[in-house]
Order: sequence, then C-alpha cells, then structure tokens
Amino acid sequence: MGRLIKRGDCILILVCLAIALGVFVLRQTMAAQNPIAYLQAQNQPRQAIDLTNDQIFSAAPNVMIEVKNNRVRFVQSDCPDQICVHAGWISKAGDSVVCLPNQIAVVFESGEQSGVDGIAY
Amino acid sequence: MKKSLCRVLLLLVAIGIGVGIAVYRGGISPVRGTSQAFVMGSLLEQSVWTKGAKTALTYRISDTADAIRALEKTLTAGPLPADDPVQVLCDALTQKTSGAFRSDLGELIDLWGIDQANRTPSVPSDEDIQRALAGHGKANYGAVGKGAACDAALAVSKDANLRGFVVSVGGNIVTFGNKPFGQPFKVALRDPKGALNDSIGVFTLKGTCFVSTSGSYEKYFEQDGKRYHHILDGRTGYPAETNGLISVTVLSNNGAVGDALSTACFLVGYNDAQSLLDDYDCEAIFIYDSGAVRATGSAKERFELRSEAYHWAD
Ligand SMILES: [Zn+2]
Repeated sequence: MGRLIKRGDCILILVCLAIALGVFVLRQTMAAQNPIAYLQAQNQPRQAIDLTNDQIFSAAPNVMIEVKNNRVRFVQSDCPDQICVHAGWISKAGDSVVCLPNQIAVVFESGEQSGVDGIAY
Repeated sequence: MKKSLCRVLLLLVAIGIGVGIAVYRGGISPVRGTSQAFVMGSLLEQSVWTKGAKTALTYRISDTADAIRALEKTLTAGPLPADDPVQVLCDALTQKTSGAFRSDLGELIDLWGIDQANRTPSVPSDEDIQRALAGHGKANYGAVGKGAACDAALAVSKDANLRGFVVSVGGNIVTFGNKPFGQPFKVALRDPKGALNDSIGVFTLKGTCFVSTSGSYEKYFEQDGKRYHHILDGRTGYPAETNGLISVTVLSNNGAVGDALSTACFLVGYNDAQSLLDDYDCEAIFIYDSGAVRATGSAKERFELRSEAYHWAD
C-alpha cells in the first residue's frame, strides 16, 4: 500500500501555503508602509494625494499645499487663525490638518496599523 | 484510482486554505472605509466596518451629513420649543450650574466673536459684555450641537446594517457595534497642550458610546499677553476661570448630554461636577495645566494614559 501523500504533493502544498503567506505579508507591509493621504475640499468628493510626487498645489484660491518626501503641509492660507499653516508637516497614518475657515482638510488614512479608530478633541 | 482522487481532494483543500489566508482581512472586500465632509463648521469623519462588500454599498456619508445639516438648521433657527429634549437638557443644566451654563448667550458669543471663523476676536468692553449678558434671548446651542449631531449620526447609521462605526463631528465621537472579531474601538484623546496630532492617551470603548470634550485649548485668542478661551461663564460674561483645569472629556450614552455636560463640568470644576455627572450617569476625565489627570467612576479603567507629560492624580 503506497502512502496517501507523496513527497511531490507535500512540496506542492507547502508551495501553495508559502505563496498565500507571501501575499498576506506583502499586503500587510504595503499597507503599513504606504499611508494614503486625502484632500477633502468643502463637500466635494475627496481626492487622493500622490505622496510620491513632490509638488505644491492650490486646494482653494488662497490655500497652497505642499507635498515633499511623503509628507504634506499647508504652505499658505488666507484664514485668520493660521492653525493649518502652524500645524506644519504631517506624515503618519491617522494624522490630519484641517483649515475650518476654508473647509479644507488633509487626512492620512488611519488604517488598522495606526491602532486608533478615532481622535476625540 | 481511489488513492489519486484522495490526493486531488487534499490538494484542493490545501489550495483552498492558501487562498483563504491570502484574501483574509480585507484583501477582496473592504472591511473598513473612512470618509469626510464638512458640517456645523467642523470636520465630519466616519469610519465604518462592514459585514461584507454588499453592506458597504448601502452606506453613504452624505446621509449622515444631510441629517446633521437638518439638525443644524433647527438649532440655528432660534430658540427650540421649551419641551424639546435639547432645550430641557440645557435648562436643567442652567439650574444645576447656577447659571454658568446657558443656551441663550448668543448675543454674548457674537460679541466676543470667538465662534466666527473669519473674524479676529478681541476683548469687548465691560459695558458691552454686561449689556449682552443682560439681553438674554438669542439662543446659541454651540455647547450641545456637535453632541446632538452624534445622536443624529447614530440614528442614521444604525440602520445601515454595518458591523460597527466611529463618527467624529469636530472631535465629538460616537461609536456603535464593534470591529471584526468583536474587538473594541480605540479612540485617542488629543493632547490639550501638545501639537495638533499628539494624543495624551487612548480610550477602549465597546458598543454604543459617546465621547465629548470641552477645553480652553480648542479655540482661544491672546490679547495683551492674556489668553482668552471660548467657554463663556453665563454668570460673568467672561471666559470661565478654571483654576488650572484645561479640559474635560465626558463618556456618556447620549451625545447631546455628553457634549453639554463636558461644557458644564468645565465651567463648575471637578468638585461640583461630580453630582452633575451622577445625575446623568456619565463619567469624565479632567486634565489640568500642571499635567495632573483625574477621573470619575470607571473612566480610569477605560482610559490608558500614554503621554509622559501627564500623571494620574486623585
Ligand atoms: Zn487655516
């Protein structure tokens, strides 16, 4: 009586599991390493910000936003409180800067890896 | 013949397990989705955990935003009927705080100009303050609005057949349900003295829960070296004198109650807040300029203090 599972089958099963594990780990690390940032302007549909493309763009007539080295900041805004400009660079999952007078927000998606589901203030 | 069939079956099972692991945790269907909008002069943020790809389609943030805008319209239209739950709540708190908390300080709030995003605030003359204070009449529900908005968000999203969600209306939070595998929600509390994205610690919340914070750090302006925050005392007409208290965070099971209580507790301070909190079955965290943090009830067990700049005090 031969064995139920041959050596070849064993290897095949292991290869299957290894590929699955590889895909899983890749997904996790990709999610952890590449935070996604969005621009929310007034109540328009939000737009993804390309973090790999260093640039300065205008989010509203008098609001300038800069992307550099995977970080984002408000360079200039005409709002009286200047809270957005003073916030400086942000880059971590869960970080956000909001300019309330102009209704502009830059939000780094707080994925599972940030460990936090909301911020109370 | 039989043996090879077994082998094929075994291989299929192995491949099945492999594919299962690969798509597990949202590989194919999104488990979590976030979205933003602007309502009530603040940012609305919503994170939802769906039961599968199907329920994600039935959920839209615009439904929540629309419900909150409808509420905002009601709250800004003038005084609410005396029997409206929000008005009943405000009036009860006015009584319990000996007039420190009021929902008819509209004129005074306009005078200080703290609410107007496009105006640089300044200290009004004492004469104007006393006149505005005596003029009681113009309603302003700023102290309950965002909490009431959380109630509205809960009412809308509850029906969306979601596994769980976290909604923030300008930092006022409501949680519902749970995360995959029954995990509780983690809600960070912003550091009142730190940078914009610093947090002082994290709440662990299960099921339906509201978190509301009132603090002197949120909105303020400086004039002649003195700092003026935005929480006005209805007895004096000036920003509340708080003896080093810089923020109060209330955990409640009703948004409007939690929001109003956070303001009321901030106005009256830790000692007098205890009976207020008991009246509404709420708990709170008090944070002081010195770095001291005090908790009531079981709030301490639900809050993990993480910042080294702060310490628990009795
Ligand atoms: Zn701004």
